[in-house]
Amino acid sequence: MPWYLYLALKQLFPTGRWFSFFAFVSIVGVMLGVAVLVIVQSVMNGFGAEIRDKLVKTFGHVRIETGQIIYDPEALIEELEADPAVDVANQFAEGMVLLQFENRPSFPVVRGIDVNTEDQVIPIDDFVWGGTLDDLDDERIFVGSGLAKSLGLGVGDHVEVYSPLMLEKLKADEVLLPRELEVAGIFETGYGQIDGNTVVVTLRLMQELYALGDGVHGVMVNLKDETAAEEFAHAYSQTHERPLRATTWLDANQDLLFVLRLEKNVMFFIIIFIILVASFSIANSLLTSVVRKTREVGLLGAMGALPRDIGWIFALQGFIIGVVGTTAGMAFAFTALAYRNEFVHTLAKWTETEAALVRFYQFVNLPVRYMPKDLIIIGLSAIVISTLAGLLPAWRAARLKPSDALRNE
Amino acid sequence: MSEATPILSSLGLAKAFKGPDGVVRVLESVDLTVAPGESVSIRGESGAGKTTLLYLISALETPDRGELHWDGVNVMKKSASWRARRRGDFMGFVFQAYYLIPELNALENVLIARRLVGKVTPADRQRATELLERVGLKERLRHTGQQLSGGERQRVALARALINRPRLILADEPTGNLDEHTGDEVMDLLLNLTNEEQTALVLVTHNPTFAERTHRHLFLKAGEMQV
Ligand SMILES: Nc1ncnc2c1ncn2[C@@H]1O[C@H](COP(=O)(O)OP(=O)(O)O)[C@@H](O)[C@H]1O
Ligand SMILES: [Mg+2]
Repeated sequence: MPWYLYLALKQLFPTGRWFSFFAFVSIVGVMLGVAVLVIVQSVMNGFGAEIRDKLVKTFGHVRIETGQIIYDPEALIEELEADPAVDVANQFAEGMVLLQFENRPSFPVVRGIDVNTEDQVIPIDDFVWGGTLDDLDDERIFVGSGLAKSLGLGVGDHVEVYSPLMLEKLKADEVLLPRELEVAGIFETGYGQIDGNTVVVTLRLMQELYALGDGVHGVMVNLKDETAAEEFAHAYSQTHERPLRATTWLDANQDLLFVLRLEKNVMFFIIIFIILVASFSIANSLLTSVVRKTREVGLLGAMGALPRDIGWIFALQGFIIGVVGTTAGMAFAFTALAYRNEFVHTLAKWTETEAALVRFYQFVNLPVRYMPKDLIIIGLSAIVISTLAGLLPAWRAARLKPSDALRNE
Repeated sequence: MSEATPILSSLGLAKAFKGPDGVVRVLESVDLTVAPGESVSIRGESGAGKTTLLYLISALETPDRGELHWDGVNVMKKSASWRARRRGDFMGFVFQAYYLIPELNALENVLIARRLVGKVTPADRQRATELLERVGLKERLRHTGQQLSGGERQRVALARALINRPRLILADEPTGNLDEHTGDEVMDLLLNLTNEEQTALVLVTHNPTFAERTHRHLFLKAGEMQV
């Protein structure tokens, strides 16, 4: 071990003591910053992953559309399913209807799904309660939970549905008879925009309401490998002529995904300030230590030390604080997150708010996802910042002339 | 002794400092030759430039004029890093104010001088322990500076100065901070050890009794060396 590393370690962890007060305070500062960063970023990753998961489940990996009615979806589906990358392909049609329950009107998006195929791109059963996909037929409907709530709907209620096509009939002075449908289930994706404004019917009913014949609006596709969506969509658009085009769930939710990323980055820059503040106190303490140790610097010069190596004593202290603080901070964060449920539970007990645990329920299931890239960025930032904090003191120490330092009173 | 290459030889060393009231010419022309194993005492009034001279002959300070040879090598023609390295294993220092490193215990304080010039081997530990025993600190190896008295600290500094088997020890008023009795003990150790180890010694002191005990006695006055 070079002597300057030895002295740097000894100044932080002197003989006969575990650590110096300075080392303790500095390491705790860096540790807190790193721990908070890891906890916040990992929880945000967790929430982000849940949202992305929901987006994928409600959209499918890729959609093939033309912007018009597709009259021969069978051929399209056959071609898609022949592709080894494709797992499932379902046709669908989408539009808007007027839905009325006891004279309360609403204008939800209606999605017609093909109930005849066994494999479904969208795992509807994961979302529906009060019924399953098997209960859906041409006389029944699934209603989003938000919409059901605002209309006061329950399973078994009957609703009236008018399609835009019926308006044409109205113009022709024909009698206007709505479709009467029974609510077969309520679905909740946890995604407010969908739950508050969507109903699901069979594709055949949708084709009837919109007079599509056998036509559909598009095909949703799930791939065997979810991460290959963009690649697949790109290749598809390359090999197929307009107006056929492929849209991934990423394209469709660009804005939301952008906000998620932005939020995470903003949080990073806010929390990194904890480490910056800690680094200022490291720099300050090391500068004080250079002044206090001026005569020792002179002694080292007399014993053959080079100015550069004297600088290393102080630069290395910043680096060591960074490494130890980062390690401690990561360990702290991993432990805290591993026991997060127990922690919330105990907190509720202490504060005698066991009843409020119900409200905490979502919190108990705090989602966490560690991303190696985040951990590396956090660790490197903390180490670089604390090393920088040691550079100014190091430079001051290296500039001291041993003969002047020895005369220092 | 005269035919051997001197450990140290300086010729016409001069040094002036720029102070707030103009230039202070401290050393005008100092000639000093020290033979291997020889001990030399330097006395002089406070402010005569004794400390400055020690810094010049150890090349911690650069002279304005003059020549300096360590063991026949012209020091000023060498690089700063050569001078630093050579100083580390060629010379040992004992200062008035001990200068122990507070984070280290006695043994580690002795060994730090070894670390600066190379690796610490078990043999070095053995020698450091023996030196500390020799200066009477057998029971104090793991005490830190704070846990030692002034005299004990100076003994650690003595062992530290000797650990690298230097050819020359520079001692700047080593008993200046000690009471008479302790000072006597430390001085006995310094003179006996340099004698045993065949190390040359340049001793700056105010005490005429100590000065008398070296081979040669010099006075620094008016910027020049006088016998
Ligand atoms: N770095 C310096 N700058 C200016 N003057 C100095 C410096 N170092 C020493 N001096 C001056 O040089 C003179 C000799 O100092 P010093 O060598 O310490 O004397 P001594 O050790 O004999 O008491 C003093 O007058 C002191 O003020
Ligand atoms: Mg002096």
